Amino acid sequence: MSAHYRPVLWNPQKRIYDGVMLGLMALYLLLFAALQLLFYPEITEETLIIRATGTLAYLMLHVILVIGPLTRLNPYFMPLLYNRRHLGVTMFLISLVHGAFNVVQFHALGNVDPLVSVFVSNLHYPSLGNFPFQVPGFFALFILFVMAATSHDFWLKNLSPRVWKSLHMMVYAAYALLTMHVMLGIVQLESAPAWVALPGAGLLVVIGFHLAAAFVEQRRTYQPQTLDNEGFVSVCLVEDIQESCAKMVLIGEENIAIFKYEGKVSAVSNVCRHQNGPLGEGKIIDGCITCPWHGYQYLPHNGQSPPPFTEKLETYDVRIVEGQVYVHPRPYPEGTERPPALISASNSPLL
Amino acid sequence: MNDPMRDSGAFFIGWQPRMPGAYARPVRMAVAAFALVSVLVASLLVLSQRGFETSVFEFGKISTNEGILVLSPVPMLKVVSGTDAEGKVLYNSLLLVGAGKMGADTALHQMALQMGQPLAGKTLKLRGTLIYYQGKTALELSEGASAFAGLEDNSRVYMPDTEELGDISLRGEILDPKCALGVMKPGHGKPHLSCAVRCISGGIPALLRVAQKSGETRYVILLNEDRRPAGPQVLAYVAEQVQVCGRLERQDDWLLLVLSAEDPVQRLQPRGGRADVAMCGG
Repeated sequence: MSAHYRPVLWNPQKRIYDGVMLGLMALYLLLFAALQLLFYPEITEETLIIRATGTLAYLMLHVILVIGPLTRLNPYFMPLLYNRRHLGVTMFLISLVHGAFNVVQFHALGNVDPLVSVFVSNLHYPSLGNFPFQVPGFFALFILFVMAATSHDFWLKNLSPRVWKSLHMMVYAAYALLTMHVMLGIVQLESAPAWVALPGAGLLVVIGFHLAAAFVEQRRTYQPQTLDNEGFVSVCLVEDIQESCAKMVLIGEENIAIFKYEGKVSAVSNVCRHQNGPLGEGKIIDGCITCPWHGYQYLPHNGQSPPPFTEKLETYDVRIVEGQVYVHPRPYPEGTERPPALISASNSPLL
Repeated sequence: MNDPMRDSGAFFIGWQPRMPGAYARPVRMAVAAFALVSVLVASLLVLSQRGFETSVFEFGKISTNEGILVLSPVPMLKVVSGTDAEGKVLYNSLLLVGAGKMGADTALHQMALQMGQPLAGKTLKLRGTLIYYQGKTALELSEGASAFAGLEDNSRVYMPDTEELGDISLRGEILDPKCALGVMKPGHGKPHLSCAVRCISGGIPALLRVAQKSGETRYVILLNEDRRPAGPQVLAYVAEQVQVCGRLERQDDWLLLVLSAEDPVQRLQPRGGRADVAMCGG
């Protein structure tokens, strides 16, 4: 968490994650190169590097985009999400190798600056078939660079989570640009079914996982319609919330997580201050609400991270009447202590 | 909606030293799936490629070639390859190109300045890197003006063997000879478009590659009405399938097409397909 910053905070799980990631990348690159040299020994080294790195980076971007919805569909895949930023930065570096080789190979040593050449060599901008496919690739690489450069928590803290998250949602723009880059570029030459079908299948997988996750998310979050005369909203029965876990509820614009723990119920914002993770899918561990994405922690009764950490959440009033849990959708300022509702015998439903 | 993870009591926190055991199996399955996808994608992409030309660029190998320097219509070194049955001298014409994406003009001009005399028509030696494919050869003057390796016996007079082949329309792809003959693989098609534009803009003569139904490939140097390289006129059509009209000539072992004055190049749609040769207006 954000008491201070180090370039990289390593732990055993990150080392395993990175080791597996590098191993899979090596598998792809070695297999790609071996097959090329075996079946097409006349290929040049430059073309081999350009094709190997380009296809690997595009494949990695699909994995990056699928991990998020995959963990929403099944939390047991959460370890794949934890160190995803290393995957993203590595994918950018592979893309950079691809881009640099392309610029040198196709644009350098000519009569104009190589970077200018990317934009002016092919002027068929109004044409779909002849569109200069390097241009969307260039802008995608720029987006990936900005994301990689700001991936550290230092930028998350200084840009604010909202700005940081918005910036990193640009990954979808990068994906759209790269899909253009692929379909208007190499697929115009390599027209075999595999070269057309694989990007298409990748697009369907990415869209399919996101739609499935959105559907499940909608079912998981309760959206009540009615308020009582004091502004409280009936949410669920106490027994509907598992111990040390939460019920997520969306009331208007308020995304609220209602936690049950140690005979009490408290309500805080459902949005983690780190990367907007869904706190309500987390758990109370050692007395703290623990985010499922990166383990950021908050005290349930005041929404404050335990010292020395400084993150704070909005809190909400909550009450229990005859076993029914009510929450008031008016947020208190971040870190405001609110008394938990007690689950006493008188509040329990009649048995 | 109950959560199986919560029911089991397991909860993953990344900063803890180890993940709960219940996560290991799904994560291993995911990693195995990623490995399988990696193998499938790499195999499918490589094995379904069009393949690459068997063209040769002798990168890193400088050879010395002796011949008669010709500057017009495009720079060539005419290397004697033998004589025919009638005793006429036959030439293997090396198309001269510069280093990088530049023509040979600058280097040849500097050589003439250094020698203090015009070099056109002289027998000389040039050092450079050979590029060859399908019977056509280019020589990259990789060392610039330093490619000049000496004047030789100048008693030989170059007499081109020329033949007028008439007006014709040819279908094919406009590209640059340096990449098409071996420096790039592939040296044609959409991915290579920008590179070909840079090469032709840099002074490398534009070529039309004509794939005939017989399976034979012809390379034709494109010239404008003034018999100069037609690069500026054809730049907008590079790497596309086009039909080009003009007057066809043979000069030694190369074909030259002097473009018609009006609309010499027309786009053919769609991309790809085999090219045909037809007579203009025929």
